[in-house]
Amino acid sequence: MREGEEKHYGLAALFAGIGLIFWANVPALFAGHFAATGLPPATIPLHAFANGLEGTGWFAAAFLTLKGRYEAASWLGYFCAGLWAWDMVTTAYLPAMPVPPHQWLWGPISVLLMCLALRRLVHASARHMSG
Amino acid sequence: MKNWPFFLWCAFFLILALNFASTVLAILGGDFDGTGLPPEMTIMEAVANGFAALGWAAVLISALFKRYLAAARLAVFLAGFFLFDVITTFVLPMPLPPYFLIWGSAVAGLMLLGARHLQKEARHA
Repeated sequence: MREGEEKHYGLAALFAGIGLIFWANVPALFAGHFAATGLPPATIPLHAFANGLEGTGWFAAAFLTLKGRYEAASWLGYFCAGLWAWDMVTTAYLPAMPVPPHQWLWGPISVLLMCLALRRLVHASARHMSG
Repeated sequence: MKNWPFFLWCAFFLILALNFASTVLAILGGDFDGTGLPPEMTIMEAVANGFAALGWAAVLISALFKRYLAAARLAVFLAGFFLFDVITTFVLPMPLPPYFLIWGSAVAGLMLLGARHLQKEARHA
């Protein structure tokens, strides 16, 4: 990283925080917190795996951001935002979801915030290449 | 046709848009009622497939109008969007060809390759 170049500790912390949320869902799924949602039992471990994958992806995005590899971090972030978006849309109206109410509202907002944060990285990457 | 790989990828994006749109009709027609998914989720699977159809149509249109980077970002997002579906439903009895996990993951990989091609187009533009 060149001297005087801007760093994005805040974005890295945000991505790590998102990663932590997805990782926290893994033990919650195995502990039966989503058992009353109507999800077929066979898919619960698969949701745990997918949430673990998302968490790992966001942590990797945070690491790449700290390393100044903004472009790679942003691509990975968009992929992980897509993973979450499918989950968010398809489970929006399931009963007894152990998440805050009104997922139909905060879910799309969370995807939008992820994309806005990633957009900042894209701009940082462009400045990195032109500077 | 000098840039034939680009048009091949555009054809792929078009097929994806049409395929996701046809899945919406299939879900609404009841073809996925026996998967074991709760009804609240099955209907939202139709909504998600509809978003995917619109998204791939947007990738195609953005690419044709030379907005390659925007198209590439959206394609990466939509690859993740689709992969979540593959990972979490492949064990369910669905009216799809067998080995959904394998061919679904391969399709997600192709989506990412398409995004990579769009990124290269952006660099050469």
